[in-house]
Amino acid sequence: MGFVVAWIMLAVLWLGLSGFTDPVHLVFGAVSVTLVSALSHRHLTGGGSVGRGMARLLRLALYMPWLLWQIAAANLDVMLRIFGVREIDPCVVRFKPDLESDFGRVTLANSITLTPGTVTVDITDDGEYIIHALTREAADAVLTRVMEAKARSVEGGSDA
Amino acid sequence: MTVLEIIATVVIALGALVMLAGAAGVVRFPDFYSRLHAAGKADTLGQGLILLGLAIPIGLSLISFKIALIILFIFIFNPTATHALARGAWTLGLKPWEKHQGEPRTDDEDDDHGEEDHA
Repeated sequence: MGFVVAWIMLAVLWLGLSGFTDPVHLVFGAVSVTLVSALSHRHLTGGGSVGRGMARLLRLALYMPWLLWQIAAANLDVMLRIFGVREIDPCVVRFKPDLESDFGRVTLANSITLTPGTVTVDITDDGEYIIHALTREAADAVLTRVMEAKARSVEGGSDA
Repeated sequence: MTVLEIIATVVIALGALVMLAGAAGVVRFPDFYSRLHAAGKADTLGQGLILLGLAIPIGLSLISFKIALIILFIFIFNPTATHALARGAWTLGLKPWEKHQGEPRTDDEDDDHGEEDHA
């Protein structure tokens, strides 16, 4: 089942990137797509159930607009600080989010890094996040755990 | 100029402005970690806006599909690279600059090292 999903995804990608629709190229494309998905479909689809992967992608798509809005708003703040309108006051904070899967942890870590003002420096073995923040306000925003709650709603249960 | 071209020009100009701010931040911020904030994040948004501006006048086509893919990859890889740099510096024991530690830039050596890493 993972093979079929990987095949369809790769076929769409191949068509989009090549733009060829004549029979000769389509055959070449089909052969290479089949080869690649046979070799690597376990890595491409994570080996989990297909329905769960699809549900996660859907929830991730719903999460994106909120994240984009956060990125834009926080970028403006960092730009003001770059040009000296506001002061910077860097600090390092640690907190331990309550997430069940690697997928959720990656989503949260990348979201924190994407949002200007905070970078995920490290995740320790017992799941503690070390965050470098440009300002106290940015650090406090992470510690309110609004983003963590969003990441938890994206992950939808632990990894199989 | 059509309306779409005007919108695209505004979006591209906005992206260039964000990139400029990021470059200024790399120069102005005191240490490696805070420079990462400027370099890593401003680039993500700036490149995204410029690419979006390029896609707008084209409309839905194979080219804008490719541009959308590039934007998606930048949004995945840029924070990952930023995190890798920060983690590398952290693992090597580079201490972040803080406002109230008396003299600001005491560790110039570490600072220069950070810049090399980033380039």
